[in-house]
Amino acid sequence: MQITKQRFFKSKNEIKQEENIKDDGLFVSDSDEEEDLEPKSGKDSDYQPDSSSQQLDPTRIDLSKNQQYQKFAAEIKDTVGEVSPIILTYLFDKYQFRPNLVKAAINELFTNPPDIELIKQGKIPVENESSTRQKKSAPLKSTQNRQKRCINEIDPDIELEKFAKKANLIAEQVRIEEEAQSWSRFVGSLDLQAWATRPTVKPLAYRSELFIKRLIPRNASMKNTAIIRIVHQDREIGRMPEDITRILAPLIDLDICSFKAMVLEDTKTRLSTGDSFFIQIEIYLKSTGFIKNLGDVVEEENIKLNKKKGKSNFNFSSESDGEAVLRLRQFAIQNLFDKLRIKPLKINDDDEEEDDDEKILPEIEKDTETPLVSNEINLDQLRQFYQANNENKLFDSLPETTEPPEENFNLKLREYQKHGLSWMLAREKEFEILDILAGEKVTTQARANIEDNGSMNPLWRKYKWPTPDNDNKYFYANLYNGELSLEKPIIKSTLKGGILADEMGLGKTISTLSLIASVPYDNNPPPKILKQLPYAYRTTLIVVPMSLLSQWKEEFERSNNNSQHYCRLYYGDDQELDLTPSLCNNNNNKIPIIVLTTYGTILNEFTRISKNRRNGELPRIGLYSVKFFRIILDEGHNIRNRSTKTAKSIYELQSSCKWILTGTPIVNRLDDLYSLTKFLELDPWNNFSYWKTFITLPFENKKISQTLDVIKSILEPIFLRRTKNQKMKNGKPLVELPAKEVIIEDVKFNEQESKLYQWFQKRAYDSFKENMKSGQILKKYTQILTLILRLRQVCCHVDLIGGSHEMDDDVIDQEEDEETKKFLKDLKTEHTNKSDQNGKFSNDTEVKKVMFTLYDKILNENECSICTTTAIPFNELVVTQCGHTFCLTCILEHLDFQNDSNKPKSCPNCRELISRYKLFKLRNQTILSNEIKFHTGIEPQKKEYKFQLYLYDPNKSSSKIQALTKHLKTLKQQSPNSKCIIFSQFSSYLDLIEIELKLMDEFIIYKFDGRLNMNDRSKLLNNFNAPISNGKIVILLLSLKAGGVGLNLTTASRAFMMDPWWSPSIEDQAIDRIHRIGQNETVKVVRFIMENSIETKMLKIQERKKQIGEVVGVEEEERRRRRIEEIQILFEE
Amino acid sequence: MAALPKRIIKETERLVSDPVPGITAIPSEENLRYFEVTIDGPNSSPYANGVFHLELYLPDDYPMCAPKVRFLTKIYHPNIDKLGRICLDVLKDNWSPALQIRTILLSIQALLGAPNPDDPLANDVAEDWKKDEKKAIEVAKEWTEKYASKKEYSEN
Repeated sequence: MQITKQRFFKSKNEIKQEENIKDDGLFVSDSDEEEDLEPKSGKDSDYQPDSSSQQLDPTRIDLSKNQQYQKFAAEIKDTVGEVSPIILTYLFDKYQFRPNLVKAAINELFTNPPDIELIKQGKIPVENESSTRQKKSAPLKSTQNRQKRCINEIDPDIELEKFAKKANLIAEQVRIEEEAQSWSRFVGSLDLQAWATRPTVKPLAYRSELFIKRLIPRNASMKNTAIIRIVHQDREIGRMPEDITRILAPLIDLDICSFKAMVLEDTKTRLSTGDSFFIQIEIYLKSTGFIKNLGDVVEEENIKLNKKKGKSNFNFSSESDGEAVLRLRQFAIQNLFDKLRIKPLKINDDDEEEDDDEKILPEIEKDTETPLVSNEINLDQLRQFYQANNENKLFDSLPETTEPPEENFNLKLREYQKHGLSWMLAREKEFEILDILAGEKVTTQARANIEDNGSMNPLWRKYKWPTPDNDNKYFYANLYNGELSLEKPIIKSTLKGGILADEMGLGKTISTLSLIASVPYDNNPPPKILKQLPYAYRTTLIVVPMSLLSQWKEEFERSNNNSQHYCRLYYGDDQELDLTPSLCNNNNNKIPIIVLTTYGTILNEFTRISKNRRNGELPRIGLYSVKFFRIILDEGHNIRNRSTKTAKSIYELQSSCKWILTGTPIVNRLDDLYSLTKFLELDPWNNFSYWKTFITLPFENKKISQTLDVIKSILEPIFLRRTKNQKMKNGKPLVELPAKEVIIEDVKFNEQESKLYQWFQKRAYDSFKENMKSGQILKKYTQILTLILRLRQVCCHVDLIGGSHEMDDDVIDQEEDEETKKFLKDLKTEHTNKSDQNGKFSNDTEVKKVMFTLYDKILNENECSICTTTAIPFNELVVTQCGHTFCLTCILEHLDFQNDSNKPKSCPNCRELISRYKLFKLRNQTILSNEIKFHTGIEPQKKEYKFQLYLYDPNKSSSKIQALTKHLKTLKQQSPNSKCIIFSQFSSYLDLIEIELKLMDEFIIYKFDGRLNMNDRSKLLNNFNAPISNGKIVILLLSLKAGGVGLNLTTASRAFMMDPWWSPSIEDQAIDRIHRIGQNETVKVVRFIMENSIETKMLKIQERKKQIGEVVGVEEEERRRRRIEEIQILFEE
Repeated sequence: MAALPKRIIKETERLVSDPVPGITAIPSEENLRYFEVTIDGPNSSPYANGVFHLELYLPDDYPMCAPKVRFLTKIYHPNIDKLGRICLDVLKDNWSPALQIRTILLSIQALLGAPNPDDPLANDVAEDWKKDEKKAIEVAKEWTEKYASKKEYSEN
């Protein structure tokens, strides 16, 4: 080692210096002398090996031959173990004059071990290998250089192994190279101004031939400068300008180019030192520049380094030598192309050049710690993304008639679903099954496309050779690392599966189940391999969010037609320590084809067992105890954050095929996609450093369309998205949904609400104005939001204020101030304390006095003279102080009508003046007449009443709830047995609504919010969806947050939105719960909005958001501005 | 148009199945809120033997507000004007949702039997009525014979 050290290693100081100036240090030629690198003649195909390598290392000669042999033998022994001395001698003899004899010998040992017998017999002559040596040593140089340096830095034990491996690799490289015919080909010429370093005797004549020579100064202090000399008639006459030198030097060192130079213009006089003269250089790309596995070598080193560091971020300071080589190469080629004005062609167009707006440069030097403000993707970009990825040539070529086998699947697929099934089968490479199910053959072309994934590696650019040649019109360059290739670089992927990103409501579930029905098992399970996980080749694992578990199960039951197929829930109590017996035992005929589980279940299992890893492997427990045939992630964006435990737990599940279902593959940022590719093991994108370099960083640097292009090429083969609006080939939309009517109903405040609203409104306005003046709007954002929240609460229900409902919103005001509390208290007790101003009872005694006279007025069957209903429902019954009975809603409507038309509020039956504050309701409670005697003073007969009267409080309910009740009653009259959904964002509001509606006997009420557990959720949805026939209305109270996603509620066609939300899209999504596939009726939605309130202004903001797009992804500054604008809209007078 | 409330359906059914003597009310086929009504003149009144045609319309707010009723047949009555409009308290301020089509028509029939010239709508008629009640009754009888006899109307 020492020997080579002397030869290959420089002092640390030197290395440091070299890192500062990247241009030459690493590529010091073997020779200490200046040498002529210029090919002798102008024949393009003439490859001249680098002669410098032929030089012997002078330092080596100092050692005696014997010492050398000892050293050699020891090193070989260390690396490959005992080797026969005969062979050692043979190898030593053969390679002793080579500077890297150890490696050469090992190389031969590994690749082409000499036959010991033959050597003994002297049948293999000891070559002096003067012929082969030249070729071999030249390309080895740089690699060796690199390796040797690594050896010094890295643990020697690992290094030996690495050494052997690398020896193989190098041998391979050499072999490939020798096989390839050497050639060089013209790419372009460069005109430049050089200057004379030595005076010439004669003026230079036009077209006189020049040579170019790479100079490595002997003087160590000069080593940092690369100099390219210009030689005329064996005499140095000048040098190239530095910028060109920087580009050309690595090209020479890396043996990428050769050059022909000549004088471009006669010099008028002979040249003196410092004079400038013009030359032209023709540049030829050499075959040695087209090394194939350059990337692999570097990649390997890269990964190792990263593993060592325990993280996968690029870090410039620890850039490996391999990376340095690539970077230099990249720099040189990129700049060469720039100088030569060679532009890439568009990938799919052979002649058109790419737009040159965005230069392609990997920005690995960028500090990754800078705040990632622009990391989020905005709506326009998202739209661009979807548009780009909606086109899929591959998909179009597939049959549209594929249907799953009837014996397994008993639903009919829609047209586009059949087409989708073709694609999914193709993605799993099940072409035979696809042919059978489609009833037609997939064209060989399409098949070939799928099999090699057709798309060009997006990191590469295509170029046209400037000189015509029919066989080889184009070449390819990877400007990210400077690789060159003659063959089209294609991303190869063995991935089975993909991302099905159909828009919500297009039936991803059914599509997936049809795939499972078509290919329930792995038809060609590989034989069992000992150390690997047992293969559950008959089972598909489906991972879903908890809320969708039962829906999946039901969909499966509904679609399944094969009694042998069944689905198992792996959830809660049904978990198992080892799934091998139940999933992998061939004698078991009850192996489920589907195991359904939830993200939470997997996460729990993972958390529990991941502590007990052995050699990095998880213990084989539960879902981790087998390898599945297929894994399907529903709502796959759940794993979008790669650093979450959920994502990590999913990555470690094993299967042959992997699918992701999601309607929103990108939620906030492009990196969301990374995690998906990681799960799918989509090489090379599942390596984060790759992703970061080619996607994250360019995107952050605003190279938007370029980045989206890269993503398109990554996704195209594995990604399918259709939207509802998309048209089929026959021009019809994919899905035709029934119409949707959304009506806004204005509601008026009642007296109490109005008072309270004004109170809060004044406070909010004052606070707003004050903060606006002092410019602190955003600082006091929370405070203002709290005030806004109060206003919104008053719009819904007075009782929402000051309750424990604050958790409903993001804003929690800890210190509910005393002033407000007092105001609320006063307001609520007002009607009992104050005198009979507005037709209210002045005190409790008065209430009781009146109330007790009314008991006998209540009959068994009471008629409402307003709606003519006989036997008013118990909960609806009210009695006036004059003893007449009505339905509550009827009498309130009457009072409102009279009030609005300025007429006296009189009893419809007796015309006595009545008041909404003097109505009595009934409560289900038996009471004896003598219990009320005390209050009245009258001696009644002993009697038992089946009810108890109490004073109705008109302020207890809210105006909105009353408006809602009215709608529900009409609905019940017009279409009994129907179903409807009531949305609110405040789950406490839903509680209040529930209480009020339950008082009426006409509704069956279910409530779905975040507090429900999984079992109750599914039970509840089942009950809700079940048909009824008792003439009532089934109501689902649905919290906007809990029920926003996934649920399918198409049994209902009516919805009521109790309160507006800031973002219109969230409301739309909620409406989509009922307005989706499966809905056959016109969907009617009523949105309740309080008149002249914050809610009407929220509508304005919604309108605005629809116009300018939502704030997601815009700059922080812009976001602030919009926020302020929004608040201003809210407080417009 | 708002859907037909249950009450209207109930009332209509009852008007048809259990009609008030001397009164008919038949809903129009095109609009169930529109009724063709006939009222027989009360026996003891100048309108005896006459059959009076009216139209009745239930507004959207019904039963919160009163139905709109108008005489189509010409009638000489202090509380009914040339256009057939009726001055009757329960059709105006004294309406109560507890009242129904049936009760309203009965009230109108009663109004024929008991004209009230002190609360007139047709001022000229009311004045005639106050000045010379006998003569006014004669005119009313004449008009009834002229415009409200069954024969007369069917000829129209």
